[in-house]
Amino acid sequence: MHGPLDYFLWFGSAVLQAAAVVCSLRAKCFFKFFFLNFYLVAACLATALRYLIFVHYGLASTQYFYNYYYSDLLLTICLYLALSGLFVHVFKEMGASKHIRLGAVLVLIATAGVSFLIVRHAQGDLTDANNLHGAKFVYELTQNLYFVGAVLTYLLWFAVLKLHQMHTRVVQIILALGVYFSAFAASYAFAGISPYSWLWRGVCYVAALWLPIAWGYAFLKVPAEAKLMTAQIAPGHS
Amino acid sequence: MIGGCILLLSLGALLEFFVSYCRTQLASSARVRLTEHVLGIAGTKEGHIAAGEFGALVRLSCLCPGTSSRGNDVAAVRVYYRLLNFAGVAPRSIFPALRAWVDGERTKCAHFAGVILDRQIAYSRRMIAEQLSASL
Repeated sequence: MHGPLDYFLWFGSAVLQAAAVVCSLRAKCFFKFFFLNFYLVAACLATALRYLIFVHYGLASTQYFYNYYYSDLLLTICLYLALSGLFVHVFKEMGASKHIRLGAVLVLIATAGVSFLIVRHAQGDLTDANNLHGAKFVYELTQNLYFVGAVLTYLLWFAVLKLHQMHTRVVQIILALGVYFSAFAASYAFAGISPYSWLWRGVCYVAALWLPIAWGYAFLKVPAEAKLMTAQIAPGHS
Repeated sequence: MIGGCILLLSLGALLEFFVSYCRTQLASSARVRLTEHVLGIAGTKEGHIAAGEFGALVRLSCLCPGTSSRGNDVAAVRVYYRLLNFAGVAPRSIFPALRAWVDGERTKCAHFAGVILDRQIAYSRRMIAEQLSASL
């Protein structure tokens, strides 16, 4: 059963996501970071939908179960698209946006394929009538996408460090996304090791609050034209 | 085994992303010169605030009336400062480079807190001046 803190964190993240979109509208950068804002709007709507299903059918219902996991997968894919949008943003001067989009789709298909094979290997034939296999595939794919997202964000961060200077806003958005992806990847891995621990759920909640706060801050408080020498934030720099 | 490896890699990436995020916050304030007023509050006239003054400066900025979203500015850096304090426990004789780096970062955190306090004082003064001019 959910407690008051769960409700607070549940709705708190939705309010913060909506606030981050308002921040981007106020900073007039909604379309510049369209996929990021699309993810925030989708996450907000998903929370509303989950709450409606929770009220009508209850937490233990099959409807809530499927809605939760399938909407989580769709949101993760949205976030993955947001990440590919950041790749395009960083590499747009090289004119590599078409290649990046193609690469992002291929990595997504490959991750889905690997997830399918993992679930099939663990559970037997996925074409069984049992729908739980589908839910397990969705869970596996979400988990793997978080890990792939963390790795890709790390590669993007590495590429940014190789550039001489970069917009501070983009750097903060990338790093905030990196914190989010790696926190979720760690929490999923921890859940696999210790499924009954409360720690991994707490990490998910904190990470869900972190992302809209950090993005909203970057949209509203960091000037659009502000640039940062990447050497200043490189790990070895003192 | 694979789960443990993913956990370790993810935690390592989490730490690096978070540290870099905080360093972008610190880098944006590094070029800002502190006013003599804040330097006086921190008990120095040389332009550099001692690393240990971070907590006192943050508490002072919280006492300033008005709002300019200081909570968002400081929250991540405060966690970073605590992480640095934790890393700073390492003995200097064994990890001299680490300790020097930690001390440098803690000083940057204190400078950042000084910039926030400066901003808060300026904001409060502006607000009081506006109220005074409105009441006259």
